[in-house]
Amino acid sequence: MDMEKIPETRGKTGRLNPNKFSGMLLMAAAVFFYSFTLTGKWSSGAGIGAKLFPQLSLVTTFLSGAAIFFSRGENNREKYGDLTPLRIFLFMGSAVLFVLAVLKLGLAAGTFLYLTAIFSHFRKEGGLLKKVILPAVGITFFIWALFTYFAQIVMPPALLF
Amino acid sequence: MDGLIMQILEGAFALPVILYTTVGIFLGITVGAIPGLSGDMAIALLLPLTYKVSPAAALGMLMGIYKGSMFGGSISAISFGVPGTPAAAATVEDGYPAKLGGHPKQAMLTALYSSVTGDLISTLLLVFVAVPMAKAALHFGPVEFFALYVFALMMISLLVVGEMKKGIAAAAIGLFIGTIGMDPMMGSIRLTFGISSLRGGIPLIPLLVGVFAVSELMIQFGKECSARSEKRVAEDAAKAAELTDYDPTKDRMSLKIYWSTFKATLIGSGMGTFIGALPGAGSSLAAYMSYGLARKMSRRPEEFGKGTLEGVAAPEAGNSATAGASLIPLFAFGIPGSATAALFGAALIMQGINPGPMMIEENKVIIYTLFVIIIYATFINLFLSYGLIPLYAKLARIKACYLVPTVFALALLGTFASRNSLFDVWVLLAAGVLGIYLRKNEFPLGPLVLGFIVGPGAEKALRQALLMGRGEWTFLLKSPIALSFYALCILSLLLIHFSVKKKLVEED
Amino acid sequence: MMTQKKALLVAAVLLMAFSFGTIAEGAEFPKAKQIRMVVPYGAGGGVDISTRILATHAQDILGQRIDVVCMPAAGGQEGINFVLQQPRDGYTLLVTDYGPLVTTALTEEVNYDLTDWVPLVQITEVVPTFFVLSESPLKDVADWVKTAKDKPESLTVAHGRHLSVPHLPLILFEKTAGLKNTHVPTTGGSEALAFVLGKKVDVGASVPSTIASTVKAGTVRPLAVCSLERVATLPETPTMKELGYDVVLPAWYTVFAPKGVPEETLRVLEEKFIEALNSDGAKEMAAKSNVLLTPYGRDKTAGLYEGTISSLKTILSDVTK
Repeated sequence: MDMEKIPETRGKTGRLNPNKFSGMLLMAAAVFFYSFTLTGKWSSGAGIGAKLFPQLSLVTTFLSGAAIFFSRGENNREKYGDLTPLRIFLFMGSAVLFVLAVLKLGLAAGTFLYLTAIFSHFRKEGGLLKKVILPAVGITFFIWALFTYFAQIVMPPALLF
Repeated sequence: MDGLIMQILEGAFALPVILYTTVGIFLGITVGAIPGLSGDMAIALLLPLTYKVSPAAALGMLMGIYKGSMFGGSISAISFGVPGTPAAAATVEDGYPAKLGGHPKQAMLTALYSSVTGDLISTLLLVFVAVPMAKAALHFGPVEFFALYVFALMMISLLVVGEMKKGIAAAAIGLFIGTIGMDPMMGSIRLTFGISSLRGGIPLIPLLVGVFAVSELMIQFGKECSARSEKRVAEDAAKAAELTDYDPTKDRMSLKIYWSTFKATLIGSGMGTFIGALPGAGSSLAAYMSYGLARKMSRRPEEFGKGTLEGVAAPEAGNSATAGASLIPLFAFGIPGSATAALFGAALIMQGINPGPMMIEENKVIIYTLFVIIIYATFINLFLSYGLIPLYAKLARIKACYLVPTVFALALLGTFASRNSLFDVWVLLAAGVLGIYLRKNEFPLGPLVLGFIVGPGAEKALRQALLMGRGEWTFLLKSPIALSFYALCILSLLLIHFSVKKKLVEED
Repeated sequence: MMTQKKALLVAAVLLMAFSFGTIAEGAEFPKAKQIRMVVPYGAGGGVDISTRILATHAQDILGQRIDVVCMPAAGGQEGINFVLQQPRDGYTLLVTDYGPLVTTALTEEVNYDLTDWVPLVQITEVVPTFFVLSESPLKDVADWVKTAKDKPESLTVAHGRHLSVPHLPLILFEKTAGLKNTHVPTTGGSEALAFVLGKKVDVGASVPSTIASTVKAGTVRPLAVCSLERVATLPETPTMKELGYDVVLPAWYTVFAPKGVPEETLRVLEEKFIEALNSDGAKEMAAKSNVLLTPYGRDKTAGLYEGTISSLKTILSDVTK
């Protein structure tokens, strides 16, 4: 037998071994959703009924979650260390704000605000107009033209356009 | 007879026709390259145009969009790791590492050449063997489809680069997500937790774009944030070196390289044509299965996932081959093999051409003209793409801090525009978060997507088969085609088991 | 920092500049803004094509742009809900068959009552058709009935989605004739046709446009159509009524306005739409696309709407989920 690494439960950063965490999450989710298949109305038509596939997939999820949980944690190098929860929140949050802005203020206004915000977040020094405003205006115009003329999307009535 | 040929050639090579076709190809490539926008959208939007121009020009343009978008998706897949279309998701696996390894041009051109090869092969099959092929495809009923899907699911989960259990978990999650919404047989609503928008299930494109593209955008965003906050001179210097490190002499495309990936290209073409001709199977499935099969049959399977060009050629040939092939059942029986083929069918109907077995006979001139157009469109695609690649590649060099929010905005808006649905946008974002989680924890994304796509099809096929067999599970074995797929499954399992054992033995 | 403040100022100014956008004034219908016809199905489908035929020609007659918008999400419910949420000014209309609107309302919980919709104009109708492979031993409906009665549930019928346009007449037929067949739901007419052609099922149920080409080629034999009169594209095919079975359930494609639109607006819409459907251009386009126009006005359309609702109630009362 090959030499086994002693499974580490604590990683470099002192947090839980990611595999253990994933495994637990998978198992918990599987159980959670499975409980829904035991209650409520489920059509039983067409051979196996509507319950079987969801249940099958959840059982597989549970089993593989368990397998992952018990697997030897590999080297705990953190993949994508740049992806801190804060940044994920920022990124997704700004996307949500963007969508709301487009709905409430209009396509061009929303896009412009979003781009300006992100560009200025990354701006290192000086050149406000050149590096933030102009690109934002240019790209906003391009996007606006693309979607208004080419794609004709149905926008709920917004304040601006 | 001569008169006929002259008519066809005049029709196919008329200037407006060539022009519209070229515009279509350009649009297709561009739309394909933008994540969140798809060829289907462009085709749907331009459908009304078919009323206003000549049939040949209109159909040429739509065909151009279709072909162009199949390749276009790989441009962004390779240049910034974000698949422009769902079908290009498999191309990212080796395409992006190839670019990072300093071979963007080789990767792009390999993608282009194998795309064109796959496209050409399936187009020739469409033109010359549509009817017999379609007849063969009709032998695939629920029993056979179920066997095919089981085989596909198994292959995809097992051939994962990385930990197999994570592959299986991802596939299971994908399967589960696919069961949300109306069940494929009785239409009963499942797992919607009272959210009425979930009634139709989770839509495919937002899910895919979210899991692949949004997560990748997030990763790049994260990198940019790091670069911004750490003002270390050393880091900047290293970055500068990275950019100039690109050595064009090491990135030349050559006939030799094309030939070395030819086997993979052929595998992709074959798989793509086969899957494309089966109604309902889809280009993403074709791309992944081509990738899996090429890896299995490659002399150096361990290179897959690290930037090997074979890993680019196979899925690209696979997804492009579905373009011509999905028209096969449409032309032979009026049964569209994919959503795009259905749109194409609508365009034909609007032109007064009824897709189906009589179509070719009743509309000899226009159909043969169309065949000619389809064939030369492949070459226009080749040349146009070849010219556009340096342009689009340069686009990829734009600073990530500008590119990322722009592409993200496009993806968000494009997703909304696709079905005019705000719900789709929320799905996109949620899928993005899921994708980020999966990537951080080293779960492969491919099996998730495939579980999601294949799951509903597999369930439907199983239940239909059980209905037809009156509840007898043995009915599933009553087909030689199905049995061969199951045999392949068992064979693969054995092979994998033995190769794993072999590896363990060798390591001792 | 000063430059940050400047940036905000510039942004604000630009925003104001943008704000001189299009805000509709109170103008006479239909001058104020473009009209939207919402289709709860995907692009390229039957309803979409038919709506485009109407929209293209009504635009000129009404003097206002008409956009056809496809909103297939949530099984078409998003499109329906969208129309309900828009102001009831006649600028947003729904075009659909009875599936997402009526069937769903009778089988699930929806946000509206069937009385919340005003049928305006019918564009066309599609007729459910039963068919078999030409080589099939079932030569006509009488054979079908006999075989099904001798051996109940021995015949498989593929019929598109559960409770879809071709499925409901099948249920009605079985009720009327006292038959039992094994139903095989599929994703749509195309799959049903494929199964019949591949000899995977015995009978198929779909609409004429799906099978027209194969019928012409002689590979498929239509058994009967479920309408009052024979279908123009299948002149040899008898109606169920002719054969003695009261199974009449065509699917209309109708333009609806949500309740609350002013009567004058409805009158204008009805008049202009009928005019558009009767125009030469529309007839030409329809003929090209194999669509048979049925330009029925409000009264007739409303009657058909009510009739369909009551038929569906009868059929669905027995169907357990």
